[in-house]
Amino acid sequence: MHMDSNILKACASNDRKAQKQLYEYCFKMLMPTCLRYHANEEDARSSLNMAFLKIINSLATVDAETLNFNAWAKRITTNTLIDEYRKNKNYLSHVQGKETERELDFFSENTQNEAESDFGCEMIMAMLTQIPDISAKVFNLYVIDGYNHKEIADLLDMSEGTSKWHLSTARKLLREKLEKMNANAQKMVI
Amino acid sequence: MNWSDDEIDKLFQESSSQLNVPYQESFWEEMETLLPAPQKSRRGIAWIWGGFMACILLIGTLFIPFKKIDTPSLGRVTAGKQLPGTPVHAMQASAVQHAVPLTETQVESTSEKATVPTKPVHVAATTFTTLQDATSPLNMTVSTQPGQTSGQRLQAARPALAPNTAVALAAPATPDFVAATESSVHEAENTAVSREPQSVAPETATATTDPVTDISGSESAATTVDNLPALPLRTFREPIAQTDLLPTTFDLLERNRHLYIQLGAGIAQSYISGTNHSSMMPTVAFGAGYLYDPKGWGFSAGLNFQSAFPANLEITQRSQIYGFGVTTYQQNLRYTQLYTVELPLNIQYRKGRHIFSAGLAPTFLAGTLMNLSRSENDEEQENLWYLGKKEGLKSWGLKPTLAYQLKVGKTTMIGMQLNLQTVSQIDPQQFSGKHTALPLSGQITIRRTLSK
Repeated sequence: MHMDSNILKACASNDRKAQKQLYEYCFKMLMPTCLRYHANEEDARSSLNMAFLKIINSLATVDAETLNFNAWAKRITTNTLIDEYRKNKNYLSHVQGKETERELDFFSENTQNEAESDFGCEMIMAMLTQIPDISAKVFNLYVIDGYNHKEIADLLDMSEGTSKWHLSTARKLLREKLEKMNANAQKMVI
Repeated sequence: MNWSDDEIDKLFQESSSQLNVPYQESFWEEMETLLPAPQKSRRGIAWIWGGFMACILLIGTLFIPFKKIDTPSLGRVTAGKQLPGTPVHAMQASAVQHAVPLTETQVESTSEKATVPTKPVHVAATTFTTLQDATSPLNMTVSTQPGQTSGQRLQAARPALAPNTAVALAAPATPDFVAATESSVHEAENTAVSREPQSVAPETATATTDPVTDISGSESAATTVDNLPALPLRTFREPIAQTDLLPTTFDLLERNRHLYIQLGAGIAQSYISGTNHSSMMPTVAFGAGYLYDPKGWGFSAGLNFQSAFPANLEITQRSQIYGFGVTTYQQNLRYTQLYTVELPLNIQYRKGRHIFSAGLAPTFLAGTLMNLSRSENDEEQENLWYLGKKEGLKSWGLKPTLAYQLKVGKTTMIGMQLNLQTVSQIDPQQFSGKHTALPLSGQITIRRTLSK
């Protein structure tokens, strides 16, 4: 999957047709990332749109010929998601622990399939919404996006030690949930 | 089942790559409302900047007066100073005149018919005094106006002459009459100027300008002065100053108006820092400009080139491809030098040796020196240096400046200045770490004017 530099140049000069083409491309590439940081699809799409706006605005300042667009766009998206997290930190901590729309949808759709005990990717990713938000962010950044603890510490305004602690906590909580889910699945089979 | 850390990581990595949301056209319609409307061009911005720079230049030229030429008398104009439009032989002749001064009683008569070519006047608002004795009835002043020819001046001055006087004027070529008698400069056939030591009988005297030095060209017109009576000639008693014989240099700038060169070095708050602690970047600069430096309020404008050495300004792009194993690609773009052009425009107040100034400096990031390294699974693949790329950095900025300078010599000033970059040079979306919204910078400068 590679983006043509001519399309990027056209986007930089505000060509609507090229921008639409790029949006479709970015949607497929970046929406999974946004979904990992949000509890519902609507919020994820809102973040994607913000990130795409920044991508369009920044295209004029980069060399489209040599740009590794995928990595660059992903970086901008991640920064956007982290910025949103910083802004909404207080609000997110308040609603933490409540079942989200996405979780409810997920459980209503997947109850029948749990018997098969073959965890779907959505089900697994939904577990990230059930652990403390900051721990989920650190887990996402470290395990999936490939940041190191120093970078995470800078992004989330914390020390490297705190970042490591959150990663450890996230793994511990996810392990508990996976084991619990595994046990439930075995009960259903019996 | 016990899940190890690696198994958990792998499970979530694989699951994240399988997440998929179907695309709908309505998503784009929603997005389109957020995008900026298509713009025609950036010409508007270019025009604003162009106009701004033109204003600066215009204001600057108002502060650069050319030195006015001293008001010369016809007798003194000769001593080696070549005014615009003055023929060479006229000066030579005058020098002879000074060398052999006439007495008070000497009279020079001009011809009944003196033909004097005239030429346009090239010096604005210059007054020529032909005869310096204010009590003399022959005292006459011919004031020239821009664009007025010597013939026109002559016509204007003629009614002021006494009825029994006659003068043939060809300012500024009037000394030609003297030249014709004492030197051989005017031995050309068309020059017929005669002069007797005691008196000159009326006769025909025709003075023409040297075709080589006559710059009036086709614009010249001949003025004929008829029936002019004999004219006593005022002589010169004052000795010729040695300096009058030296060629005069044309000074571009008057006192208190200088061209200057300047060197500076300092530190700036880094645009970005990887840690919570701010970091510094050293800067060096050199420049030149114009300085209007009277006591009290003054003005300066210049052009500076600055190089900054940032420490933490880098873009790291990382992507991981999940397939058979995980491949991590990383691209690191590190800026090592930033080259900036500045146009400082300052007003200043000078009290004694102390100069306080404030101003604005539009800045333009002209280029960078950067290091690009690419790695695959932490193994370096490429390491390149580029000059001139500006990815992620903004070109234009604006710096308010406060400065203090101390005059340590007639031409030398040392000072320090504080700048604030009000328009951040970086695009914060592309750099991780703490962003400095308003980077401060300080510089120590040494300035030297090219004139005292």
